[in-house]
Amino acid sequence: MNDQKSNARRDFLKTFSLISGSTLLLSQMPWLRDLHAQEPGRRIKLGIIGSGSRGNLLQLYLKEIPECEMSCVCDNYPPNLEAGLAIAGPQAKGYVNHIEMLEKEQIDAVIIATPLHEHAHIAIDALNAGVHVFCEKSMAKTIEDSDNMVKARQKAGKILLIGHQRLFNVKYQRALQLIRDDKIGPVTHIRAYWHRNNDWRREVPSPELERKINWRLYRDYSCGLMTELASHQIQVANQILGEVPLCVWGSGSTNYWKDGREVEDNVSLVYKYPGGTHLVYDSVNSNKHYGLEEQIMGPKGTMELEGGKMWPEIAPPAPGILQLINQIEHKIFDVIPIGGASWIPDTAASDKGEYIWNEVLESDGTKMEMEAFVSMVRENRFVPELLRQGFYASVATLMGYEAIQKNQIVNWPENLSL
Amino acid sequence: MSTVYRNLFAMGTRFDMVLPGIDEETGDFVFTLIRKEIQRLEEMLSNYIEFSTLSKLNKTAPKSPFVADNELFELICDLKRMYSASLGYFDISIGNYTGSGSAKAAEGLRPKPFSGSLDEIVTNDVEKSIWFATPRLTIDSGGFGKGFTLENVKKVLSDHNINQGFISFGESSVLVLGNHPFGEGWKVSIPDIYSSESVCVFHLKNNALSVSGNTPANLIKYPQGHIINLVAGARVSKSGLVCVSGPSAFYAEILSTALFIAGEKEQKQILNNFPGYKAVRVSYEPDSKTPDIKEIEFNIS
Repeated sequence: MNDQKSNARRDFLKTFSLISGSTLLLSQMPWLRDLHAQEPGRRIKLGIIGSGSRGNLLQLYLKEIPECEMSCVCDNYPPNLEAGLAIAGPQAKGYVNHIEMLEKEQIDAVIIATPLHEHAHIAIDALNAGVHVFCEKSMAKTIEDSDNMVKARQKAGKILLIGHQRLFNVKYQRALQLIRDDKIGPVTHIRAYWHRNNDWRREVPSPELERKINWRLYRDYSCGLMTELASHQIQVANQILGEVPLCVWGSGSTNYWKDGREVEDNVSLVYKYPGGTHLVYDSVNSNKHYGLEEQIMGPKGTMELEGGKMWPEIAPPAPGILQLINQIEHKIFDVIPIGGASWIPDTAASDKGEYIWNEVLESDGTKMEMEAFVSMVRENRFVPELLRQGFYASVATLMGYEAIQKNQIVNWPENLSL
Repeated sequence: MSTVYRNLFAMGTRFDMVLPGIDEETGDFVFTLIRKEIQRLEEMLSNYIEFSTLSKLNKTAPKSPFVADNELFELICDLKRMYSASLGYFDISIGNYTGSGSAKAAEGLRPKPFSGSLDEIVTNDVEKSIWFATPRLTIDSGGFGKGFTLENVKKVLSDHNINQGFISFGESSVLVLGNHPFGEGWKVSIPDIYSSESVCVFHLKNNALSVSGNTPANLIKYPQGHIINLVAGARVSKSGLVCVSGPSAFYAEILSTALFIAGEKEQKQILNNFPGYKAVRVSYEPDSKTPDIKEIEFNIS
């Protein structure tokens, strides 16, 4: 193991030891329970399908995991293939067709990071070939495709993991634990948003490559803001509420980037969950002031998960005030200690909130997600809950997309395979 | 009926309010009004808000008369009276010499001169205008803002017939109304700055308490002290406290600062100008952690 891998491994184990110190937290992340028990042994072989920017990032994390090697890379865009092979290393073979790669290579699993419209059929081909699958979010471009992926997994008996990295983000899972511990009371409302101020375009070397490079802007390949951004936050809402939405209504338009794109540059939706709780969601491409956030609200407090902070509805009393409140509660008349000198700078305070997780995290969960996937493949251990999270997030995301397109309320579909 | 507790953060510190004997809905309603009032006063008096009325006054008055509303005009006139009554030890024109209106920002910046005074603020009763006779003068609200705010909070509570409660602003300015639910008045203890043991207890009823001084922790952070004696032209770096109780939180805050700065003889003279106020000085000899606790007596002669 080289130094880089060794350091990365130590970082991971350190992070994991922080998690594993909490039984409660592990109960929220059961898929991590056995990761620390890994021993050096057989290295699994991975195929990378789709080695664009996201695929490359996943590759960089995978490269730090000694229990795997990237034995092949597939991409039908030559610059991406070249970049993917460069990261994978000299042992890796290149392909432009995933079927050919699946037929020729003896691999344990594939990592799929292609444009959205390719997810389903490639994942199904891989599962049918007896290969475990990690597929980037959003799961698929249609609910039917998502369901077909679930069916293919059930038939193949292989692992299918969808890339929702917040499931592996300690801060998010710690927040979930605090919510379960009644820190903010029952969750009564969620607001989430993802705002950017750019055209969401990538540089295109030649006009005929516009749709291939900027696939996120065209309906044949993507559902725009919903599948590329909202799906992450809808997954979080589903997990926080422990439910899937009953229905969704919403609207979207292109009111700024009128540059030939087909997908909306702004969307606004309301998801209704059982019990009358709502997720209010919006995403725009023309203002970044509020950035990215999920705000979880309850009668006792508020959490902001991206920022990693929480605020009680009423801040804890100062010590002297707390003593007074306790006295009154116990019907005691006693002195109230008041200290501090007037206008001394260090008595200054503001409502800065409390940190949900007080360690600096080295990644947003993606790195641990890669570690977990490798571990699962080595142990041939499928975690149903993780697929449920990815599948339900996909279904809810696509319901929102449909609601916008049809200008209708869309209900949770019946007869899903999971 | 329950005990309603609410707090907020404003003016660089925390505001805590305990109101026994009212229901939550009433508590929320009154707290909303108080929150608005504190926000209004912060926007009126803050040196840190560029558009505050005080900032506008500080910017305009050195050049030309600033026409104020009645509230600000009366406040400035009152501050000038307090300057005289405190023998010049209460002087919030420090901003003149720091260049920012902030005692913190003055740290180590200006050893001298400290010589300005509120006498250089000229008021016109007819036009309700305020003019600074010296071009560099600015007013710093740090020495009276919490007390002034507490007096306004008292009005809000009174307007809604709430006559029982304990309100703390930064734990150095306290206002009490009526009685503790299980006793007569409210007993407030002042902790020793070294041991946190109680050094004195004020038995309060319908009045206020203010504490000014230097604690060891603050002297480590600001070795020269955060309070400036403009009469002597020096920072006050001694450890100790002065606690003042009396009918007005506004005057109690002004007095506690002035008395902390003043010498023993002047303390008595100053207190003589504030009938109805009681002051206790907690002082420490250099290198001693034993408090010397004395009530400051009126100098009747």
